[in-house]
Amino acid sequence: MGNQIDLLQGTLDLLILKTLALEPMHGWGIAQRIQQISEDVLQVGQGSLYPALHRLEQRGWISAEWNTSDNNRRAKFYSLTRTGRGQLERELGEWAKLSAAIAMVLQQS
Amino acid sequence: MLRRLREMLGWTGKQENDAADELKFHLEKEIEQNIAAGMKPEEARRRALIAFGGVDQTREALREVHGSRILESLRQDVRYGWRMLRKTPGFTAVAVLTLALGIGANTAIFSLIDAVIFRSMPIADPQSLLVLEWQAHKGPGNLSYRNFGDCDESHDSANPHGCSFSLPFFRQVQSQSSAFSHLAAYTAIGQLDMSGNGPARMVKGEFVTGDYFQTLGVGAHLGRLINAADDGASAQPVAVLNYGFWQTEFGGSESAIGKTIRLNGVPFQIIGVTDPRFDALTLSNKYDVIFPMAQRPGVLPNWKPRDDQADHWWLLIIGRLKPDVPVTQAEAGVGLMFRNNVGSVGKPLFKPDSDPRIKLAQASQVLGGGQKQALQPLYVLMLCVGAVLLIACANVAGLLLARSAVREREIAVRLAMGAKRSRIVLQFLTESVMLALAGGVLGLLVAIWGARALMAMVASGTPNPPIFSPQLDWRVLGFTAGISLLTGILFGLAPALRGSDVSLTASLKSVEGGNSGVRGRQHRLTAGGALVAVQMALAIVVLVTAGLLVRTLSNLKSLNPGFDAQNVLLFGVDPRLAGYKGAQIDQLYVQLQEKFSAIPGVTSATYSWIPFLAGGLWTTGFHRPGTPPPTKQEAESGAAEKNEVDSDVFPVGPKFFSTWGIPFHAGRDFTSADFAVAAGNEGDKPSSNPTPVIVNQEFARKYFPGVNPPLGKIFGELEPTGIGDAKAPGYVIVGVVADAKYNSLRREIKPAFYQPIIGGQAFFELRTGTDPMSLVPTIKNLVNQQSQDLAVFRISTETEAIERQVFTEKMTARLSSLFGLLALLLACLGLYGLLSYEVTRRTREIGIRMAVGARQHNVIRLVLAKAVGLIVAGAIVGIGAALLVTRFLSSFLYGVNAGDPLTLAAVAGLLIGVALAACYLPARRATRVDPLVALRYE
Repeated sequence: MGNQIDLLQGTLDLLILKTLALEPMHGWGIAQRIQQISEDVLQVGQGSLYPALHRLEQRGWISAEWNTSDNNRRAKFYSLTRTGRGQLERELGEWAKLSAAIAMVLQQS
Repeated sequence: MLRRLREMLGWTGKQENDAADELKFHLEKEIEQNIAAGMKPEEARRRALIAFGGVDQTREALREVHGSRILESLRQDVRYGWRMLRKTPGFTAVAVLTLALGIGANTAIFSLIDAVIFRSMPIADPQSLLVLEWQAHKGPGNLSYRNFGDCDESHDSANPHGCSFSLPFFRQVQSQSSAFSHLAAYTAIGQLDMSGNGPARMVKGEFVTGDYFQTLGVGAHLGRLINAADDGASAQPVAVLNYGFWQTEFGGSESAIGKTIRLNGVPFQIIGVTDPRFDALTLSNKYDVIFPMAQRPGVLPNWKPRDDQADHWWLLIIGRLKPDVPVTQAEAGVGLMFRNNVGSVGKPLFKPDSDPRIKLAQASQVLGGGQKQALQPLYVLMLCVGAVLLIACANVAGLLLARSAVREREIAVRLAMGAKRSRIVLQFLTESVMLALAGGVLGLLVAIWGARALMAMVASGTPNPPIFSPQLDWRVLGFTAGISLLTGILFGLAPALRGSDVSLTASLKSVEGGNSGVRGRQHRLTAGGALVAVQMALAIVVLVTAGLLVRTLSNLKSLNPGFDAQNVLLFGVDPRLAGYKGAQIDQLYVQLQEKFSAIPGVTSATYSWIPFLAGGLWTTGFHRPGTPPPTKQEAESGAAEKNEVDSDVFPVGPKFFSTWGIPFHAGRDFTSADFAVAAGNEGDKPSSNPTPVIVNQEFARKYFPGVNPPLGKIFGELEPTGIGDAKAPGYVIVGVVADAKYNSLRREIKPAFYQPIIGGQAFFELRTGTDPMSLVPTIKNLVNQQSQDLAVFRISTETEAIERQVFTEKMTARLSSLFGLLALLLACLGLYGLLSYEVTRRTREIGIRMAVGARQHNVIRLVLAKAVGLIVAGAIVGIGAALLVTRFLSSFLYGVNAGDPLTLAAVAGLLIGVALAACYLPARRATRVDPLVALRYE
């Protein structure tokens, strides 16, 4: 747990959108993928994951569908919508700007 | 779309289950992963649960994600609003009551308008009932035309139209047109003398053709209704009773069926009673007894064969088309028959190129009889109550503004915690709409009570009670809901926007009651001031309206009608209906006049065709006195029209002028010789002596200028060449009397001549030294002694007749005054509230001023300066608005102009006076401020 960090508000949305850009996934899969890719630095708890997923779904950026997963169990799969793809582009651009700006400020001092 | 809607409605049970499944799946995957990592199943489950965290919190969070939709937030707002309103019961009660009054008054008036406009005809399928209407570029002439007020007619306007037709035309359509599945005609009869059921009395009758009730789709309550067989020339005389008449006159007894009554002396057998729902086809014409058309010649005492010819138009034609016949096709067919029929008369009824045609109009739209007259005063009242509601809105808005000041810390806290401004505005609006809806519900009660009270007032003041009744139908309920919602938004919007405009830091830092930092503070006062000024302005509009109507009423009542209306008893008799004929009638009148004159308490007795101010009017046209009578060519080409003048005609008996107190300016009263001459000229073969007449001053001034007095002058004579008429000797003037009103107080005095009354019905007019009504039993006795078949009808006094004339004016004047006072009261409450708030807010300032030596009058001036500014601003705007609005009143006004400066000044004075009085309490409170207490706030 020691090397985990809290996610900034809003960044979770970006991570979810990015993860779903590859392929449709259920909630657990999204959390696993984020954890793996960040090499266990970013752990997404269900308490923030599912509200975020439902919020994104309501905004129309992702859509959800019940499907069978492995072992023939039913799971809710999320996939990126067209508007969601656009939103991802925008947020990536903003993130790039923000991190560049923060980097500049930090290097200055 | 559906999904969106469901999302708007919020979290559903299915979504709840879905979310549970989703979370369960997640947990199972965790457990699986832990097992895969080598844990025992139990350990794997325990660890997974720990890592998973609180499921309930997540579900709550999800609920919030979905629930923060309109309905959920609305539910929150309503709950919150309810708490806030309950916390301040005084405010809530005042606001709800104010709104209930405003909304209730509006709903009450609207329900009356609704009942008049949307009164559906009490028949089957009213939409498909059609009425024949003639239209032409120029109205018809050369004919006898009667209209009983069922149909809105116009003969002179750009688009002349009407609904009266001749019997031959109806028969032609009936026999030749195949377009109708049902076709019927009807006409009013007027007063009929009914005997055989208690003492003789007058009833209102209607003649209908055989298919009338089938066309309307009206059934019988009892017995049967008139059918085609009853309308044959040799059929037995039968009659149908109106349900209401049957109730009052026959006590609703079934034994009435089969009973024989005599109408104008003709025996009729009662065969049925109409359905109770069928009161009347049009608002103004309700009939007691209905007969087959074929009985007209027997019943009508003065019926002549020529009444049934094509140039006598007096019946209305209604019908329903066969399902497959288009209206335009039927109109074309009937129109052709109409032109043929009109062309068969032998004299031109329509001028060339006036293009007469037939329109099949919806009966519900054309047969509006009496609707316009009923609606006009209601519209004026609607204007008044509308303004009252706006004032009430402004009042509640003012209260809310003051309250939003108290709540600014609460709002600041919510804003600081991340609430959006739109959310706060919505919250405020929810509260105001809740108030308005509560006011609306209470207002409905006010409306039901108010509408009933109004109807009772109307019913008590008119001889013919209105046959429409206000009901809470969906239109009225919709109206109430609509204006409640609208008022809620209207009075809530300004406070909501102001209230949410809070400067955070200042408000949060501020101490309760101290000087706080609302950005909108200065604005709020301005907004409150504007509201008060608007209230003042609206109150002025209502008060000016009321003032003008009150002045109209008093002008009409104090008007000198030209005769003495006090202590005059009126009643009608129609000896024709009791079998009297020709000269017998005149002899009877003379005998009755003698007998009435001898009654102790009667100072003078006379009779005339109708009394003054009874509504009836007779006018006649003749060629201008001093010009030669028109030749036949002139009459036919229309060239004679330019020399045509007209005059009112008033047939009167002996001693008419002395009984009414109308002074002679020249000449003399009628003598018995005059009556003999008039009787001689009455028939088809007039004598060569002109009928003696007495003219009014206006007549003498207008038609005999420069001849003063025009005694012995002759006018109105016709040469035998005049079309359609034999030689007529005209009239000779034997006297000139002072001007007097004829049929209506409002109508200006026109040229009029009085001629000796011959035959027909008459009203007796008895001037009494005591209460006129106390003589009624004596009179009935006398008439009964004379003849048992003779009925006395329409007994009243002349003052009652005048009261009836001004009844509408009285109602509108009283109600608008009531609403005007209500408006004034509410506006002053608004002013009082604003000033109280102002004084409270400036307590500290006033304290300091007083501490440094300000005197009482300085403090009062401080408070009043603002109030006076508001009042004056409101008054100026209000007078401007009143000038605009009251223009629409001009048709109601009499003897006063819409922009009457006296009324405006009086209203402005009243308003300023009362408003200043409303300032007194807050101002006095300001002077009582204790500087020490005020300063201790710091």
